[in-house]
Amino acid sequence: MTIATGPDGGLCIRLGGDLDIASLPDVESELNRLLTRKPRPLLLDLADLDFLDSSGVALLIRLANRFTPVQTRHATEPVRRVLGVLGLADRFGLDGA
Amino acid sequence: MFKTAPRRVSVVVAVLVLAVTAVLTVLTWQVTVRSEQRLLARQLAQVGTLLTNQAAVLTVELADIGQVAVNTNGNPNAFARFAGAELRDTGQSLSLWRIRDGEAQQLAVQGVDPRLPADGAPALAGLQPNGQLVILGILPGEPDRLAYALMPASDNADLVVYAESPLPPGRRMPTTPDSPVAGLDLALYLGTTTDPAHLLQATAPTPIAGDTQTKTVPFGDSSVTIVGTSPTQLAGELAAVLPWVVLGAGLVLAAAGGVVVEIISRRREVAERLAAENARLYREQRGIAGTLQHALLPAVPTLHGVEVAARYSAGVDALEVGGDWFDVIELRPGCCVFVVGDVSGHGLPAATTMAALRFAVRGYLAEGHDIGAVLPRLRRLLDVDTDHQFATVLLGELDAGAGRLRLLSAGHLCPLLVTEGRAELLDCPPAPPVGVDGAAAPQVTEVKVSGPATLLAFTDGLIERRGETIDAGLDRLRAAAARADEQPLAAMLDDLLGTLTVEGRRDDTVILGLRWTR
Repeated sequence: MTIATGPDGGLCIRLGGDLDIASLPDVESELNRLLTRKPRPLLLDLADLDFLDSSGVALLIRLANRFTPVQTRHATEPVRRVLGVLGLADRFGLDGA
Repeated sequence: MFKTAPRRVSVVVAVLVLAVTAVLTVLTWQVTVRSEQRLLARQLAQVGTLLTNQAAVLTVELADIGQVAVNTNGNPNAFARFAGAELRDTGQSLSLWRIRDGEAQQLAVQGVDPRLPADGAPALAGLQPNGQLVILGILPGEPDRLAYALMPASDNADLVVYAESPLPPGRRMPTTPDSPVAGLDLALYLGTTTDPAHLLQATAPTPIAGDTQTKTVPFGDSSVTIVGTSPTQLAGELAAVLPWVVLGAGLVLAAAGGVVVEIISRRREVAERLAAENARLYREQRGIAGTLQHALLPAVPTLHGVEVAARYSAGVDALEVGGDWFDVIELRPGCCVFVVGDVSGHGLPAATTMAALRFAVRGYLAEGHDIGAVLPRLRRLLDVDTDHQFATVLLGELDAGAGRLRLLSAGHLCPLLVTEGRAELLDCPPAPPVGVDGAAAPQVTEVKVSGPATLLAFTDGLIERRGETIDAGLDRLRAAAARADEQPLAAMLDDLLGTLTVEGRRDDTVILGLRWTR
């Protein structure tokens, strides 16, 4: 997980590898710090995200609840379908949704 | 130290070390004994050399006296002068005899009177003029005497020098610490046997006891048999104790080896027992988790007009309860509401949230709410920001009699309708999951269905596989369900669960089947 600030002052988060119940403890503290930041637009780059389970989705939703609006880029097809089936494609501003 | 009998392996190790010890001890003992025997043989040979030398000395003495006698033609005065000088101790007898016509005639005596052998003077007459020492035997008396004689070698030989030497009292040989025979038990016998009557002298009570060796050496015209043993170790005390040292060390090694192997084998056994115990605890925990899960899930109801079956399968981590659930509530005969849901995450938090949602649905339905009204109410119960969980829920109302199915999905997978061997994924646009706010009022999808048909509602554990899209899993399910449609409902669910779930999946899985005929 890499975090950067975009040119428009928005938050840019790049997630890679697996985001599931097993890897959640690794990013939890980082995420809790993030969630104390001031609300601002969020750009999620999921180009390197291989796997996403419901626990990972819960994390993404908490991010999306804090930082709006959300744009999601480069999501792989499996990840896009997970978010789509959950009825969250609009919510995450999936490109092409 | 140990409460139970020793392991076989420890006993084997101890016995092996003991066997090696026994062999080494025997070998050491044999080497020691052999070297002792060799040393004793060497000492007896030394004693033999001394005896031979002594015989040579006696020969020279008697030969010298004889030569003087021959030169003086048996002059007693000359004999007395010469022999008197040769007398070494009291009790010795030296005499000069002339042999004429087979008779022996005494010419002179020095020292005590001769006692003479039993056959007397004739024995002397039988001597040959060869200058050799002739041993005539032991003469009993007080004290016993050894008789010996020599006839000087000369042309007109008719003179014999005869001597008797007293044997020491009790035939006990006087020894000094620096004597070659010191430390040995020795007995010297005249002749080639150890006849007690022929005992010359000994350093210990006879017969000599112990591991004796015997050596016979020439002594004049006779011989002396030496019998000897060493009551102490000739090779030293260390050699004597060496076999015992080897034995002791071996016993200690055997005991130590046995104990070490015992400890190691017992440690391993403890480890194995712990592993078995852990496995048992794991099974027990899994049993507890399974029991809890099934307590949280409803019994499958028997409905009028609709056959119901359901399966729950825990994920790979069967110790944990999961957040998947199903429920079926009969509204009236032929009409029921069914629920399939999945709370995000695992474990007790997911399971308790699941239970809360399940009973909430029942509660709202009992209050008479339509499924369209149930969902917004459920949303109030869960908030991902505070609970860190959300739940996907599929609510359905099946009126089999009317051939009508109403569906409502909050982020949940749509159900599969199987009719006449064809499986079709129903289309119900999902609203965001429960726990995610800001969602508009959900749209209820209505589908016309006519029996006989089977409706399968499920959670993502049934179709999800790492590295592929959900659609691939849905296609797999569709094909499998179409194939399995002929089977009884329960067998069909078992079949699907068996063929579709993969070994090692993390997620738990629920599959709910409703089957009706009209």
